[in-house]
Amino acid sequence: MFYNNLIYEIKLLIRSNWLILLLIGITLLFVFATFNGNKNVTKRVNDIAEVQEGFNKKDSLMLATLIKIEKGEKTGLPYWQLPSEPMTVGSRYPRIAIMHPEALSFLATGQSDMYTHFKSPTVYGNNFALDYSEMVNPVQLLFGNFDLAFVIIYILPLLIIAFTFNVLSKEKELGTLRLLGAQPISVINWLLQKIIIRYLIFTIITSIILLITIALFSPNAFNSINNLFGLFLLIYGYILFWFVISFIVNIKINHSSKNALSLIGIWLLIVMVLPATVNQIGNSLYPTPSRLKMINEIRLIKKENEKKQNEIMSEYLRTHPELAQGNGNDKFGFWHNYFASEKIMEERTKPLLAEYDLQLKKQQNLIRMFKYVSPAILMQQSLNNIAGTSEKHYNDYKKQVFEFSNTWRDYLVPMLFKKQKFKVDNYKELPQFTYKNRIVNNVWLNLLSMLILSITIFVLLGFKDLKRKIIPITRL
Amino acid sequence: MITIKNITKKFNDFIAVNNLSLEVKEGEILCLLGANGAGKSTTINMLLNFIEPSFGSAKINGLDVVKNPIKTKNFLTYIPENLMLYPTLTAIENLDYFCKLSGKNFDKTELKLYLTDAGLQEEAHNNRVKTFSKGMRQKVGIALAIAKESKVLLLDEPTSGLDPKSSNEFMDLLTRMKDDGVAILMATHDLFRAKEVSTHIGIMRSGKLENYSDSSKVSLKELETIYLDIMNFKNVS
Repeated sequence: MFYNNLIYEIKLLIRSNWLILLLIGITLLFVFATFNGNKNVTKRVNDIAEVQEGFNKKDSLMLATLIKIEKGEKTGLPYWQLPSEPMTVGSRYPRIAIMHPEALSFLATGQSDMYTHFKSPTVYGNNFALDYSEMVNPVQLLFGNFDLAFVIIYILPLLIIAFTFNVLSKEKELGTLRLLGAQPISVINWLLQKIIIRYLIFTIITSIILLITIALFSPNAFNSINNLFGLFLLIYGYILFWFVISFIVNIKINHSSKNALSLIGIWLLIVMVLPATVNQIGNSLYPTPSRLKMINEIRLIKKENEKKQNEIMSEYLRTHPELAQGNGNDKFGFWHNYFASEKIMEERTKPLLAEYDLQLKKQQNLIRMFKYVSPAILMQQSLNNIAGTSEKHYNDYKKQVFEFSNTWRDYLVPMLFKKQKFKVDNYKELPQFTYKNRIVNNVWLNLLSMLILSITIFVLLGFKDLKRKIIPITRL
Repeated sequence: MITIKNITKKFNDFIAVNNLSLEVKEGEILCLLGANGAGKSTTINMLLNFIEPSFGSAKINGLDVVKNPIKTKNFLTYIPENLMLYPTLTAIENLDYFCKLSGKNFDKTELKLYLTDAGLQEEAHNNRVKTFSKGMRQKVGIALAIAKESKVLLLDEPTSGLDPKSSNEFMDLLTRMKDDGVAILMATHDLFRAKEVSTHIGIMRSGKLENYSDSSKVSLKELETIYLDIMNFKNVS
């Protein structure tokens, strides 16, 4: 029966122009979305290139000045601008910490339109409280980005609904169901086969078009074959979920307009209402801590420290004997005091930062727990993870920049206390930042959750009907 | 071939079929007459297992239809009042599809032969069914019965809405099938056709079989009188 159904289903779909419609629809959507995603990535790459160019220019200028100084030539620069002073390098010539796009970044804009992809932490300032958010176009934020993730999560289910909502009810309304019911077959099995055939047709069309679109517009993605494979598996899982829902609605309701309305209702619930609710619950239970409030509290601590500057300095030298000159002639300037109090401040702000981190973590944990209620949340997280544009990635980037800023500082500060000059050799061994994607993307776990969810729904709601094999036609 | 024993179907308080028993043997045509709501279609629906009987049993080829819902359908072909096929498929494709659903596989020549046998003109074989009249669609249904070698044919008011010529052709087909040993149960309002084609006639009222007679032993006039008496009795009661 399956082969017969397959041949005739394809014939019927071709003659009703459904296959052509699907092909054109999916192609247009995928091409437009990939093009849009690419545009975002290109802008990101261009921005980075521009900053990198400025940085390189500044660096070569610094290097030229350093060479001059080492040769004993005059530079014409005032003392505080001389790159031979470690603190001048630390504050005027910071390194640049770049977060390059991943091979599949075009897939999901994620948080990439909210955060910056380059930062230059200096030796001065609170690097842990740096602002990473960017000015963005509010209209774009309102409408979201028309990227592949959007097409896959929001629009594919709509296409699936249009493609499957009346598989059984159409037979009833056309009148062929009575003839089918009089054949030696189980109508439910026959329906299941039709749905499976449509699932296969839908996934094959989606895969081919996606593959061609990526090959044409983002061939880079093939460098990350594991992620690409994961992406396809996730899409198959997500499509399967919607086909299962459609199958259940087809059996349980079996009235074309009621089927369509129910499916649209379920779509709204899963892709809109549930994610918004989870977000709302997260924000109400664990509101995102205010960065401004934190900066304010840090300022208060700083002010307090200024009053006890001398005490702080002697305490600092006691804990860092290697930095003391030991001849009693220590002359401490602005920078020495700054770094001495910085340490104290760091210690005092630690609980504050920890609280901030904890709050964020709690929020994330809550969302992590609730993501299983809606495959749309699961899918969004997975696609952002594959694209490297999730909140987690940006938080980790911040962390990496902070870690780097400490390494950078730890290289320069001892030079200050030891009154060493910054030389060309130092330049060569300056710590450099390389962003590492340290986030595990959990494709398998998310795929498994989606499969378990689909199977559970199928078994709980559809298995009873399948087991009965024959359902009186009046009930269909 | 078709055996119905003390079958009753209740829809809440309404009794659609009341303790009905009847039998149709090979080579017999039983026409069930009766007003709308007499229980004719409900009886056919129970034989098809579209509706489960409240009491009693219905058997096709000796098999209980409730216990063997799929097996019993191997022996039968059902032609509803308005037989619908897939409008975008041709007559041959429709026949092929339903034959394959019944586990029968024929090549195109054989399928064409069955369609011709059922009286469908050859130039229509490759046309899409959406252009077909009711009579033409029914011929595809009969072709399916011939191809499946059905032992039982269940017909629910097949001639309503057919023009006299098509109706006549259809009756000829039924007679041929009867002669081939098929047991035919037909629900109809058409006394004239019923008398002409059937071997037996049953008249139903309020779910009960009020009269059962051998068609050859009753004239059309007598049949009409019996029918009207039963119906009038209903009105009086």
